[in-house]
Amino acid sequence: MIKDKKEGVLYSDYYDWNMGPYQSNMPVPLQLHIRSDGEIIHSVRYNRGYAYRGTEYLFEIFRWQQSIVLGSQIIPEAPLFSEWALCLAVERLFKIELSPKVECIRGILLELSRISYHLKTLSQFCFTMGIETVFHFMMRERELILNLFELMSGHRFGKAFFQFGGVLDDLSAGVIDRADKVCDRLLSRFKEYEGLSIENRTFTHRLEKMGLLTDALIHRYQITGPNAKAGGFSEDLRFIQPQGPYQLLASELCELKISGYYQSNPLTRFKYRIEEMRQSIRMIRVFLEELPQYSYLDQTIVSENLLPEGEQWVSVESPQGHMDVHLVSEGGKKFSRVFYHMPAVASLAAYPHLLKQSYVEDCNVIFYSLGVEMSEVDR
Amino acid sequence: MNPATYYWIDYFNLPSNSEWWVSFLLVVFIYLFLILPFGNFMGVIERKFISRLEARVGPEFSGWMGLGQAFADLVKLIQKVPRKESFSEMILFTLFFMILIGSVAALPLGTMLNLFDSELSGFIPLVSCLHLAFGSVMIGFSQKSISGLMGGLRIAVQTITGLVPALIAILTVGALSGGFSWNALISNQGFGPWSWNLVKNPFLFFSVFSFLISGLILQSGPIFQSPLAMGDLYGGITAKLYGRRLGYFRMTRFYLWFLWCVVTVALFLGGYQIPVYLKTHLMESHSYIILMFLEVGTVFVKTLFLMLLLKGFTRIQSNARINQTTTLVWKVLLPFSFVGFIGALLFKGGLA
Repeated sequence: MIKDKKEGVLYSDYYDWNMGPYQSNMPVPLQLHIRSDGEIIHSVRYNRGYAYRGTEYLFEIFRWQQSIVLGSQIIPEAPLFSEWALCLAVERLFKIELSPKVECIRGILLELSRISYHLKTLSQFCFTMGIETVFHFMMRERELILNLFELMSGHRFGKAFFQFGGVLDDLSAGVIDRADKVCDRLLSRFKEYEGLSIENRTFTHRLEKMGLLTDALIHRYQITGPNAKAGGFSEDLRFIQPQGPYQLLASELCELKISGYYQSNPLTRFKYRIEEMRQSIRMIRVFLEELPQYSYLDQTIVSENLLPEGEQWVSVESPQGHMDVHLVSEGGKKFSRVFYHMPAVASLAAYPHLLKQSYVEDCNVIFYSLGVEMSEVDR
Repeated sequence: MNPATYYWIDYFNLPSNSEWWVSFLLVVFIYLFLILPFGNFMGVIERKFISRLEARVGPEFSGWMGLGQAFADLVKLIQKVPRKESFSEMILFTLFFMILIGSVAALPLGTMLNLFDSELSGFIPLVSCLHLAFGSVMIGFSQKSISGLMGGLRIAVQTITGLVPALIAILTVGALSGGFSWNALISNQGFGPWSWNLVKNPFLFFSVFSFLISGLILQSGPIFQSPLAMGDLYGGITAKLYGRRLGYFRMTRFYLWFLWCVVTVALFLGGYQIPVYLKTHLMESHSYIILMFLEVGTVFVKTLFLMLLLKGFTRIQSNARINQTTTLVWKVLLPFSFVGFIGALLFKGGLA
């Protein structure tokens, strides 16, 4: 800061920018207050809440049987995860066990949904980095998965396919073969993505020296998911407390783990997400092998009128990390309280720290490397 | 009187004092009937090519095979008039564009269309790039925004860094050819690829690489477009450009990239040379119009392939940050251009 002696006015060397909340180059409604020293960012503050929809409050208004549709609004890009967490909580409230066939179907859909989510995140990231070819390739492969969802559920994102106590319907004819072919194609495409991105010197050189998510930040904000796992934190709920479909994988969990990541920067986060998609494909193959053994499909419990009294806290591994749902029931026709704890909030909280001392051009790159969806943050 | 004007006066039996009118009409003809249609055609081919590369459907909405798409885009942009346009902005967006178009007279498009040739013709692309850079910096500063200021400064930085390797590449070819006039640069090459500068002297591969990448940097082209970033948050001058101003800006940028590729063709890839016996025959039979279209066609085909090659290359590369661009120039392009310069001269000396 420089003080002018004559006029007594304070001058600053810094530029102050106010970006957003609705900016053409920020697809998410987020307000940023950036203070930069030329090209280098000095500090950042953010305001959020511009996409708040009050979804959690709606759970207390609608009947509990209708709330599965609200659950799919929590993660619009991968609605099956928020539906699954809600289903798990309600099923534990009713104290019911599901048949292995339902679990297999759920497992296949969840992992396909995870791949779809990662493809969308990575494609946005590549678009921001300027590799539009990879962006289009990823969107093309994502279409395969969405078409598969459409075949199964009649809806491109598979919304409301999970029901309390089961799934909406049995799998359509030919889905297993088609899913197998999609997996084969995806595996061959991942090499193509890596060839166009990770083997590109400009790409790697730009990413490996910025946006470092340190261990201290991961601990401070309780960051989970690929952002933390790329830094060596291997807490994956699918492995440490397998539940639902992942109990069927118990014998093969050790082989499915990913290792060899020690520093969470945008490049390793990118690599980790691709590796996690490969891991998901291996899981899908196990589910596809086991599915034909089972024939009994549970009936859903939506015919029940009243909820049992009680409280449940369920944690699941969403594509973004640990997603928790807290459900309270007083025994009526509606939930008394539903609260989702989203991992994207923690990643967003660390975002200003990652921007310090980085270039202005890298603001969006770092943002997309974290994979934050504002619709998850502002619910 | 320049040779091209003389040919046309002779061809149409015009009075000898009509030199200015003929030159003026030739410039208009080159721009309106050669470069603009080429730009339109190039736009469609390029977008189709890129769409096939990226596994998506390209433009096929306006006109036959989408050939009217670029024209439709331009009309759409020109219709959108800025709400408030100051006199200085009008100067920036129209006068700069008009002055740049003046370089059409000195483009090496053929014996019949080269209206201006001097010992400094080889440096025309550098002068034009400096002109565009100065205009773009002014556009950025006139926006009175932080992103505009940053964009302007980045353009200045990229221009200074990108200028040196391009200059050395031109000096290399000039030293090999014995001059910088189009006549000197092109006449020692032939129609066949074996007689092109690039093939005759393998060290010129270093120079052509430096020249093309420097061109992208000087013009803030793909990969190196951080000064022109569309979003405010990236910091760039085009964030506040829309409508007519954006139309002018895009036309100028396309023209300059076209100019750069035409000059690359002239320096390294044989220019407008057609088979000697054919040219001699056409000149003797006074078939100037056929000769003109053959020469222009040769240049345009080479330019088209060069532009498509570069477009494909840039679509699979990620954008470079401003500091990466400067590092690339000082650590890669400058050594490459020096190796090209020294190696090419030693190679020629060895052969001699």
